[in-house]
Amino acid sequence: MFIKMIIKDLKLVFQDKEYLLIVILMPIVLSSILSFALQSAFQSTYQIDQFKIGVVKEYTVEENYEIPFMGNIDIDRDVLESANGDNIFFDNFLDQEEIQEIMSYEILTYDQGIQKIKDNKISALVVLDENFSKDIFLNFVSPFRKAMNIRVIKNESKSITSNITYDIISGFNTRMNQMIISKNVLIELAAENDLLSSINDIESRLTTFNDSLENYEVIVDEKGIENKKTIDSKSYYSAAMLAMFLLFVAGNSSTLLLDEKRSMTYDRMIVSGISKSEILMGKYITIFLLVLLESSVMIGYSTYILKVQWGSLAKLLFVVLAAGITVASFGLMISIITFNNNNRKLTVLLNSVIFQILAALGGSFIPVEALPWIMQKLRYVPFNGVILKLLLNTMQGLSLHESFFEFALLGLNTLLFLSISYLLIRKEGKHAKGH
Amino acid sequence: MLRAIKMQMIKLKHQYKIILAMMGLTILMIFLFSGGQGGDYQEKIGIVNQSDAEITENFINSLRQSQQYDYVVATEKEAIEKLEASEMVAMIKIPVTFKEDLLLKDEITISLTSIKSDISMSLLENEIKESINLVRSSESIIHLIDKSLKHEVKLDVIRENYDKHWLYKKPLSISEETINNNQVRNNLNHSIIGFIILFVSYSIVYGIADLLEDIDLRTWHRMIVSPLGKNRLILANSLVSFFTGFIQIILVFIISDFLFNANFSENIFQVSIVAALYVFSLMGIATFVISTVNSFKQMDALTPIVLTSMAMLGGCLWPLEIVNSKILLFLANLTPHKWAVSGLKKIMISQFSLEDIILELSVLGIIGLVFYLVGLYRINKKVYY
Repeated sequence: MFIKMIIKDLKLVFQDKEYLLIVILMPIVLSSILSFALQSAFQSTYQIDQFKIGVVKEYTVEENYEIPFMGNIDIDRDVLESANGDNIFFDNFLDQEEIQEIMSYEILTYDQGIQKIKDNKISALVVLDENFSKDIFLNFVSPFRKAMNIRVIKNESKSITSNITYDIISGFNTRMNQMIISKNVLIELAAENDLLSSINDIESRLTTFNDSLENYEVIVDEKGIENKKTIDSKSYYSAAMLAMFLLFVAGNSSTLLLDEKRSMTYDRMIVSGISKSEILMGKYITIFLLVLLESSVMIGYSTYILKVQWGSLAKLLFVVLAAGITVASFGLMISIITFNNNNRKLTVLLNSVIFQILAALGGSFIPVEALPWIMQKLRYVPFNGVILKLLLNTMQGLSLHESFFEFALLGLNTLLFLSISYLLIRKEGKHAKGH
Repeated sequence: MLRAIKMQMIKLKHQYKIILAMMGLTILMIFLFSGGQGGDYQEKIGIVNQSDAEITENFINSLRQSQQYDYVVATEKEAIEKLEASEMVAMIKIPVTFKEDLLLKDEITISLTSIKSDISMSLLENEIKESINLVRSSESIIHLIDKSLKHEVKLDVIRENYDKHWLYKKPLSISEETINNNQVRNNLNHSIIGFIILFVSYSIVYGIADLLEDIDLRTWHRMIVSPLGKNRLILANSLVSFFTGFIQIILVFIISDFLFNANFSENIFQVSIVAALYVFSLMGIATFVISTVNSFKQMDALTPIVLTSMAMLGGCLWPLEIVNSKILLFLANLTPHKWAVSGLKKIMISQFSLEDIILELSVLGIIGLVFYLVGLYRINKKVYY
């Protein structure tokens, strides 16, 4: 009889082909979308397509600039020609191949640039003020320090590329500041120590310095923690979507009891001698089997199509079974609440907001490591977060012993859900007797 | 018609607790995801310093200027333990030969152990490279000056002078601005906008889906044979859902403004226009979805999946800039979430006017209108059993 009841419940679920399609197919679609959408963001060698910026030149380039208090000093013409800001910023910096590979630029007026930001056509607008070219010249050629500012107007809709622009321009500033400061410190110390006459060959020294900077290589040797596999986007989102959709399996099963009540089959089963606990056990096993079905489809799809490596099959099976027991307990608990309340409000609230929140807290949307500390602590509060952690542990090759804490948490959750279910059933029983 | 609206209002009276719960949870989520009121969360990076050279301090200090990460000096054992507990996201190991590698060789290798492999690790790598280059170039400059002064001035004096200039006398500065000369805000606003757009969508769609409950309970069949007719019933349902959704979204914006200083009230008129069109577009989509499903149960299974996918595609949870796939970026254009987030961001962060977001407003209006009309047509044609 008991087995027949489970078969009947499964038949009811499988009869609604559209519903089944939604529950089984959509997680597959969603995990595929997410895996591909965030594939590049899950690589440390993140590549961004070349983007465009605007540059506003508010200055005009003159052939020669007057240097205050130094009118009589004879300076090399070549130095004068090459030391202006326009040459340095464009020829020696923005036009470099390495920079061009990252971003291209166009010269715009201020108004054109603002309009292009509004139209989302450029990532940022770099504004070089009316004295830029002259001030760079003065800073390089004279012993005076002329304070100057470069404005970077960011396009907030392109936050990543506008920040990259800022970093690149900031890099230019750093290099310029180092060169100018080195000249100023040299002149200052030479003057203080009567060594002005001995300074020579600064230009060639600066060139050597520049070359040494360009030829120096910083290698960052990136690796994961020993014995732990790094998770890529496909693996992460396959596990994350599975953990999230197990919540929906429970949520969508929450009306199983209510449907029996509304179609009067619940009363008929009771009068035919089937006990309440048998009916509940039937629902429990139905939800458990649905969890196994959902997990098998998701794991199968991600293994063969997305080429996700889930780790040891035995450990994975153990995790899925443990997850199934907890999800079925949760499903049973909300089925009883829905049954007792005789409406679907709880199901609506669960599916519409609460599950989204639990999914977000558990790390199904964004990996919790990238979130504020409070979110990292909260990952273990919802059981789907624990299931996700267990799936990730399996992928990373951790032993069952190393996942003891997570298994214990799942056990506690199961115990809690079953206890609440028991209390609710007893309460409903007393209520029914009262009537 | 008024009677149909009244009926919907009476139903609403029974559901106000759910609506309030949804709003409360939305605000809670915004609070949690934006890291409390500060929104200034920095990922922790462990520094394991194996070198005893003084210059490593300059490197560590340079790293600590970072606004992106919080660098903490730790022993290797501590750092690995924290990595395994996800309390740190990465660990940098400064080698014993740091000084020699930096000053005498042509390359240096820094070991970076991380628990993840994503865009933030790429940014971290760049930050390490920049800091090393800064320390190395500063040191090279000091030696260059020393050589130029024929070693007549003590190295410490040169260094002291150089540091003084670097700290207080930098000739070039750089300023970052947004389009209206505002100081650049942190990503608090983006999180708030994304989460509000995501979470209010459920209550709006579920509000309209009430109609399916009537179909399931057969009250729909009785109502459509009354003088009210299908169109009036749907219209009444849509109107009530629209206003409920609109009031809800505006309230969430106002409360968020109060709690997180999110700059909504300054632009409340423009925000209201975008919100109204977003609610309208969702109402259209909900009507279309209702016309395709046969029961509340199907709708209930479909709605979270459709809305969550749309929110993810539309950039509610992360900026669309990190998505490279052209197909997915095209699909994002079909979601109202993308246009609502874009419109609200432009108004609240960049202080654009309504004229500047005419594209966003038009697309939201078109999505709503097309889906609503198609949905209405299909419901009229459909026979419910």
